[in-house]
Amino acid sequence: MLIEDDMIEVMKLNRAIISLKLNHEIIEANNGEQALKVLEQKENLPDIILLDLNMPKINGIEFLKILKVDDRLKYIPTIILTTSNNQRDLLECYKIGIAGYILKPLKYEDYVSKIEKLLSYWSVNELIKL
Amino acid sequence: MSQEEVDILKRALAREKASRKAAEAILEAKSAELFEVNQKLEISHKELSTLYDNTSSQLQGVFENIVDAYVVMDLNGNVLKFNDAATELFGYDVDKESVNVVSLIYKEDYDYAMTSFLELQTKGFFKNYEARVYTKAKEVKRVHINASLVLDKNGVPMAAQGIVRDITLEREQSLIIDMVNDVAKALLGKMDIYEIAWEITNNIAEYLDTKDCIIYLVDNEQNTLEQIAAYGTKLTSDKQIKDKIALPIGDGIVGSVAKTGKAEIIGDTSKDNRYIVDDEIRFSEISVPIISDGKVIGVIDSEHHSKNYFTKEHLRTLKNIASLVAMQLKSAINLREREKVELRNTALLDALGKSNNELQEYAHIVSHDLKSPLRSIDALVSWIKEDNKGKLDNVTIQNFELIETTLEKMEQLISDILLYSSIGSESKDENSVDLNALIEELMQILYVPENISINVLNNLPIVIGDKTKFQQLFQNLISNAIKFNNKAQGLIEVDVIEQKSYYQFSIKDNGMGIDKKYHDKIFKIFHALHDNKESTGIGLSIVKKIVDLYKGEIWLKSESNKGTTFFFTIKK
Repeated sequence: MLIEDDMIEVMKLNRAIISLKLNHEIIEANNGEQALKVLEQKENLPDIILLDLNMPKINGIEFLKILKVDDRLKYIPTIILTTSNNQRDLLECYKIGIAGYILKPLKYEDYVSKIEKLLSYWSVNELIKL
Repeated sequence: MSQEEVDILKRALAREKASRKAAEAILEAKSAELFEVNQKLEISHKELSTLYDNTSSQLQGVFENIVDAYVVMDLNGNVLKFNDAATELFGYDVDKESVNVVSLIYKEDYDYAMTSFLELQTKGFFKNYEARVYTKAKEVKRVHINASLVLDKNGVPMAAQGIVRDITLEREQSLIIDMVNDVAKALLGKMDIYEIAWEITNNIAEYLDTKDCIIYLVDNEQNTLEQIAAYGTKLTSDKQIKDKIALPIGDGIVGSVAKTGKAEIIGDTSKDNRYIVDDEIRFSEISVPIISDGKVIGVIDSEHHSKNYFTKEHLRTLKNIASLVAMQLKSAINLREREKVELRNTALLDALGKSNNELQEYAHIVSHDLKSPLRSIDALVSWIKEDNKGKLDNVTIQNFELIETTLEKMEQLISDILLYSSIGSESKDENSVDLNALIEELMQILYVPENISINVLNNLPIVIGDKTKFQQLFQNLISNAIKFNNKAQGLIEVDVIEQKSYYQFSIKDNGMGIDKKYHDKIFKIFHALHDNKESTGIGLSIVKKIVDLYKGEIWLKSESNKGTTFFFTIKK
């Protein structure tokens, strides 16, 4: 699942997955609120969540807090995908509990390479399904 | 033995007998005489001891305690005898006027006096009686009395005598000693200014025997008197001053004492139009300024219900207390002022820290918002390139690459600005920075039009510091020189002179120049001289801040339309 408000960022992930010839299904959500609605449907939970921090309505950190107090959703590995290298955000996220923190690079090629590594790493992981 | 010898012995014996008889007769007569004398002696001794009984205690008192006042009175309290000290103490001459001790008793001590008198009658004496008395001049004195009954020869009381000691001064001194102790405690930091004041009001109220005593402190900012401590009815249950008033200096009796610095006793406040009723009307008032370094810093004020209550003795004591307290109160005030300032500073620092934090948060958000579009442009450009592979000519591909490097530079700049703002005024990074390389890099980032040439005249030094800051420093000055160049052939020269403890850099241009009246203003933030999209008015203030950080100076020489040279120094 990708939680991201920037349309081009969504396009970037989709295009990267296509160009990498990967077979992952992407659930899109424009913000935390929308994402929570999707996650309410328990039958189709994502394997991992890619989460942007700066979003309208419920921002990334707020969303993360909600996620981590939910008995079921807290097991979904959540990776922050953000521009912010704000030390405070980084610390706060790790405190609440995240599986990774990735800075969005300027160059698209760098982005593709990061996404490739990220997805291949999580593809070899055993994940908990509740 | 012959007859003659026998006769001689007989005669001797007879002579001896006769003389013994005579001796016995004499002895008898003498002893009768002695008996008589003895009898007489006994009688006179008896007489003597009665006499002695009557007078002994009286005599003892007079002679052993001659320095203290000695009073003999009859059982109705009429004074029979005053010694010299008593005459001096009470002011009465008992040979010329009759005095009854009841009239001497301070009215509020009447009950206590009567209890003690009863004790005298039942037990025959009392000790350590302490109370106040009136003198003939209506002064109130505090006295200590030991008294006993005088009995006649049959053991029946016929008078009472007492030793009276004037302890007014002693009490005043002990009050002052108490005060000194309190002040000492304050010095040791056990009490703050308010606690000292509370102690003082308590001591004074007790000393003056009044229900009202207030200490005011001068508030120089407001030009008022603030009540900082009060005794008696002015107190709420939690030791706070009830209905605290702030009195303008010059108003009321207290205010006028604060203004003139002269202590006053008011015998009848109803006749003094300055009198301001605080909690209730009282007729007597005593008001003494607390003076430090010739300035009134506070006022001790007390009131009493009775008219003409306060005496010169009171005034003297209060003045003593005031002068004693002045210095300590002054230092306490200083301490309080300092605490106030410190508190204000802490608050300011807090606020500053907060706004600094907010600013940093803000910088992060701004940088995020600025970087996101750059990333999107980069992605879009790379997709166009990818989707049109083989269809684009070399120039277009080159231009796309230029877009990409520009995006990179811009992202770098945003990062640097963020870095700069998050580092704050204290630089964490202390690296060797090669200024030659730094200027080279800057030339890549800055847009330099073709008609402008930038020359570095001398080899620039390697300095220690934060690279971003030096970059900002030179970038701002050079880009200004570019921006405000109005000549067909623009010339910008960067130079350095090495001095003993610092480097002096110069950046010279042949541009439009800066009017002298702006020379100071331009370093202040948001003072843009030109209404131009590119000038935000921040650049030179950043430059100044960085130069300050490296303990340097910045100044400029400029001639209108001929050019400007900025000079700045960086400490080695």
